[in-house]
Amino acid sequence: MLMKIYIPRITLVFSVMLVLALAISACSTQQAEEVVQEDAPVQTEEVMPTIEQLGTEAPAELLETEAQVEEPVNEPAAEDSEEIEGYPAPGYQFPTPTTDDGAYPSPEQGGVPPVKTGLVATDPSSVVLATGTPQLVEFFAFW
Amino acid sequence: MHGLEAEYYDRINFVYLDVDDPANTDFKEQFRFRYQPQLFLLDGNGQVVREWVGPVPREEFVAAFEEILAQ
Repeated sequence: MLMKIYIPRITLVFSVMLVLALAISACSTQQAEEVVQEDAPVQTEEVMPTIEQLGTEAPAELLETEAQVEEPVNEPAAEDSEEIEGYPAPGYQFPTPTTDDGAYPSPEQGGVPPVKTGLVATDPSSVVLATGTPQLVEFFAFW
Repeated sequence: MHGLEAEYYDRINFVYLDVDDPANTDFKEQFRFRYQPQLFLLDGNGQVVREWVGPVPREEFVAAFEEILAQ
C-alpha cells in the first residue's frame, strides 16, 4: 500500500530534479560561450601591399634599411684597424739580441760531446777492454 | 748516464752491453754479471776498479771518475 503511494512521488521528484539540472547546465554553457566570444581578439585582415601599390618607393626604403644595418658592423672594424696601426706603442724599444760566444764548441774545434737519447747498445764486436783509457761498462736491458 | 758521458766522453770510454744479446755472453761470464743494471769501472788495462749494482747516485760516479782520472 505504501509502495503504491511513494513510488509515483519519488519518480516525480527525480524527474523534476532532472529537468532542473538540465536547465542549469544549459544556462551555464550558454554563458561560457558568451564569455569566450567576448574575450576573443578582434581579427583584422592585414593585406600585404603589392608591388604595383608600392611603386618605386619600396626599393628605396629597403636600401635605407640595409644601410642602417651595415653601419654598426663597419664601426668596430674601423676601431680595430686604428688599434693595429698603433701597435707597438710609440717609443717602445725592442730588446736587442745577445750572443753567448764560446758556450758551445764549434765543429772545427772537434770534441763535440755525444748527445744520446734513450738506450743504445754498443756493438759487442767493437768492445776492447784494455784500451789504455778508463772505461765504464754497463750491463742493461731494454725491458 | 748519458749526462755523465757528455761530460767525460773525452776521458772515459762508455760501453753499454745488452744483457739479452747472445753476443755479450762472454762479457757476462767475464764480469760475473748478476742482474741489470750492473756497472763496472775499468782502468786502462781492463782491470775492474769499481763495481755497482742497481741505481747509483751521480755523485758516486763522479767521485770514482775523478779518482781514476787522477791516477
